[in-house]
Amino acid sequence: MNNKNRFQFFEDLWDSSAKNIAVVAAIYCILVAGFLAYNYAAAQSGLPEKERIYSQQMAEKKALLIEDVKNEELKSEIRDLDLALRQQYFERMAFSKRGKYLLLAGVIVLLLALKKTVAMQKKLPKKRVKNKDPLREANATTQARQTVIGSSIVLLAGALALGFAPGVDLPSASDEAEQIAEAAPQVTFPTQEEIRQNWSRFRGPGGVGVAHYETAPTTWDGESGDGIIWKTEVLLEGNNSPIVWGDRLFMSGADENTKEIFCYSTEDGALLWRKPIGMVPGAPSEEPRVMEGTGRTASTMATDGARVYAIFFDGSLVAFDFDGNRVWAKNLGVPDSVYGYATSLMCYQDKVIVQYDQGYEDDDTSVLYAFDGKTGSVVWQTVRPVANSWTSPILAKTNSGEQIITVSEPWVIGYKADSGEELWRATMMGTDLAPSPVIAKDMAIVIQPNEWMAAIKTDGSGDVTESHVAWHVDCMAPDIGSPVTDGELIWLLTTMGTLSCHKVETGEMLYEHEMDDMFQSSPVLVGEWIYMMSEKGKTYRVKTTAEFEQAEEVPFIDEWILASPAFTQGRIFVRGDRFLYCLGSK
Amino acid sequence: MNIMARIIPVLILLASLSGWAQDVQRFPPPDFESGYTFPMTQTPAPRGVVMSYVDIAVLFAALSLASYFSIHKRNRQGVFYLTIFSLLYFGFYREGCICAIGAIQNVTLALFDPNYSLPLAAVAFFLLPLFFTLFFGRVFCAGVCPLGAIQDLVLIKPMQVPRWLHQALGMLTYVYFGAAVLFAAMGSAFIICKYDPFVSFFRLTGSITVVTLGVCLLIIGMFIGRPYCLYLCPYSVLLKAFGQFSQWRVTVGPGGDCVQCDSCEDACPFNAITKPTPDDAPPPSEVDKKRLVLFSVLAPVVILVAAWAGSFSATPFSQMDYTVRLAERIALEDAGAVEGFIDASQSFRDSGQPAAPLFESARRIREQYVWGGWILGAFLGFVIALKLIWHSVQQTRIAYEADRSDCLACGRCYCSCPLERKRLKQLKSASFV
Repeated sequence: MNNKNRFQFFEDLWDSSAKNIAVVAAIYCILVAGFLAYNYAAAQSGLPEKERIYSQQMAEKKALLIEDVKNEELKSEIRDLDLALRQQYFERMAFSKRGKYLLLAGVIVLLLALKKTVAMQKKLPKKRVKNKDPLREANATTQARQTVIGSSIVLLAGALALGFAPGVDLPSASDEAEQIAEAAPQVTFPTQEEIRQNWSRFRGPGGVGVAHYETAPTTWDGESGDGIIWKTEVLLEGNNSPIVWGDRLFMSGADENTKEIFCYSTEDGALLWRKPIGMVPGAPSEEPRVMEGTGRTASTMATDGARVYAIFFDGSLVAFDFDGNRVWAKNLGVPDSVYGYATSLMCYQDKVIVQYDQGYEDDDTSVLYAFDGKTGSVVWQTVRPVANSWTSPILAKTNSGEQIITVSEPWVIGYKADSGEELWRATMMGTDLAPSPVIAKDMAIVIQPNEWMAAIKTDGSGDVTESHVAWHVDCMAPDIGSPVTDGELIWLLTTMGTLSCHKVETGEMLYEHEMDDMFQSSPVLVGEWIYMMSEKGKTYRVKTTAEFEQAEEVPFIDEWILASPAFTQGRIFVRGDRFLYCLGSK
Repeated sequence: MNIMARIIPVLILLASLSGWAQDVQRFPPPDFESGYTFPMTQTPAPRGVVMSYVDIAVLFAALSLASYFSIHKRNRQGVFYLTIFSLLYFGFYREGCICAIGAIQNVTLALFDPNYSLPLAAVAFFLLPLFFTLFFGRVFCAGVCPLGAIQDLVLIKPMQVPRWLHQALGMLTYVYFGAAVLFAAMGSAFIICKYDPFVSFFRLTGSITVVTLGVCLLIIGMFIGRPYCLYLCPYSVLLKAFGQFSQWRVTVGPGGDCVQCDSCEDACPFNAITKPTPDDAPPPSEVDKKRLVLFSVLAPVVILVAAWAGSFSATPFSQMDYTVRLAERIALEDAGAVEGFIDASQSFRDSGQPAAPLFESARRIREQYVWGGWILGAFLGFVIALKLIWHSVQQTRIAYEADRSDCLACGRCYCSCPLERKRLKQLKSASFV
């Protein structure tokens, strides 16, 4: 057989067998496509059995890991399962890839065979009667014009339909102003009464350490459990204090592996949820330096009744709703702070206020932020000419309106609470500031650790250093704990246990009393009593009188306490280094 | 067999959706610290400059060969093999990018955004096919365009689309072209690339939406010749315009002779053959002349009305812009009209940016889209007016002809022509008695 004949032979073979080849190719393609479809459906609508089992196991182990975060064996098992799942996944991908090439080849053969088959089956064209109509062309152009007009009407209708389709109104600046005006009577944030009933931030309402209840638990016993409604283990370390809203208690914790928010039931101490804050945009990839004494979560959280807010040592600020869903998160930049960031958050209306002090007074890196609680967007921000500090801002109701008062080096500054506009400032503060201010008789009482206390009238404007400092007294000023006042008297408690009482009017000291104990938490005023919790867990109660009058000392348990307690009706919540306690009568 | 030819490929193509669409899944990263360092996100390196020149050279060579085979040699087989090559090179090897159709957007964006650096390859791919069209007709469509090639190869049993429907659907190309230019000019989207129906086949991966679109078009393309080219391709708007002025083009019979056998009309699957006008067709009547004058006078009104209608598209069209979409989502979330956040709104909120500037930007873009809508509408109005005038002018044709603007220069018509076959010594006589 010469080449020509051989070629002819194959051509004839192809012609005669094209139909059969098409059938075989079609069956082949259907099989391959079926496998691919199954593979895809398995991935889309539920995993294959093996993967589902692995996934279930992984979910269970992850749940266990939440309870036992340091279990390395469990972590290793999760990693192994994770690897197995990934291998399964990539096997499926490889299967898909191979299948696609096989299918492509099959489709090519099928198309060629079908083309040949159809070509072989072509019939002779039917003889058509010639259209001799002289108006044929005119009719064709008429039809063409009608088609163009019809298409145009369809397009016009489509465009008009698009125009009348409901769109989204974007609020303009004037709309926003109107909305604000309209929204004025609508309260979208907690009422004053709600704030007074709860403990929504560091040192409670306003941040001044005053509980708005007449009474609080007076006795409890750590050993017998009397007077302790519940106690629950602290799952992650942290020096922040608990906050309470309604039947929920919140606090944060962190270690080198995780940063988390915890939500407990105030009724029985049950852990309602714990949530890692997750990836925060802009957060540093490597953990910044941690000051051992300060820790990763020295800043106390805050809540506006709808969301809780927490800030961590690396500048990560997060918002969670009460169900544990992260609402927003952002990083404010790793703070340049000598001892690590420790300022607590506060809420004002629907905004979360962050006093972000860092660096030096003249480098313009310190900022007072107000973030929209719902969205995390910046409502206002004010650059502060101050260095790093460890005080927390307070909300002061003064005769000239609500003010946010901050104490930093070197300025004490009063801001309009609703706009962040600076009202007044006084330069007087030195370094290493930790005690927060309090407000009494329209005066901000400020503390220079270990040196002095001063009162600044809050009705000034601009630099009031020379004009509005009501008094300035040298005293045993605390270096960590903040003062507390009932409006007439001020009590100071130093770390070394020196309690002193001063007049608000003049700063004159009325008494000084040494306690053989150490204190880092701040005192709290409840009714006629001042509660002070020592590092070793002992509670001291002192009457709010001008002369020293001590009640019983309530021995606690072997618990290290740095956080300030939270007070609600008939209950005290105390965070120790190992346990969280709810004190009161069952 | 007929059932097989129609049903089985449909089944296979539908089932293959699953395979093609699978690659778009992504596996989440580990959700706990493992010591693994995530690599830096990198954008793919641009194609080497030399390789860009290679692409341009290949395009030029392919266009030259297409012109040679289609116009000079009148060799359908050569065109077919060139089609295969183009599918392999511009389709599977270059994965459908860059292509002349998408280059419309690059050129448009470069005209409106001085900061956009227009690649040389984009310019070449945009201009070269138009240049060749000006001389040889749509030879780019004949054997160079990979999108046309893949449709051409699946055409098994061609059927003629009724002429009125063909003309009506043909309007879509102008709408698509106008919209693509508008979105590119605004910097909002490259919709030609985004909704390229065949790129997922070239890359063997793609989103389920695009794969579905591609499969549907290929299924239709088994019976209707090149549905994307005829009724969607935005580049065809330019090719048609340039084709009107082509110096050389495909003629059915050799030397333009015609025995009026209808074979070419049957052979052309693209409705690109125009019939000869009857010898005894009446001359234009007074009504015809008045109609022509009326349409000419009404043209500005048609353009104005269409422009006004186009302005209605501003708000929905502006949603192609990311900024507008994000702003609308944020507004809906803030109004409590939608539950929860999407990734984009979550990221925006996490960034801490105030919403007011975003809303302001979105409003500005919407205003620009109003103007864009007017221009788009005016363009479509111009096309409509021109078509109405064109279809009011009496044409005279003495033979079956390949339409200057619609002919894809594939050569099917002259392959079926008895005179051409006689020229090629395939028929002893071409006289039809």
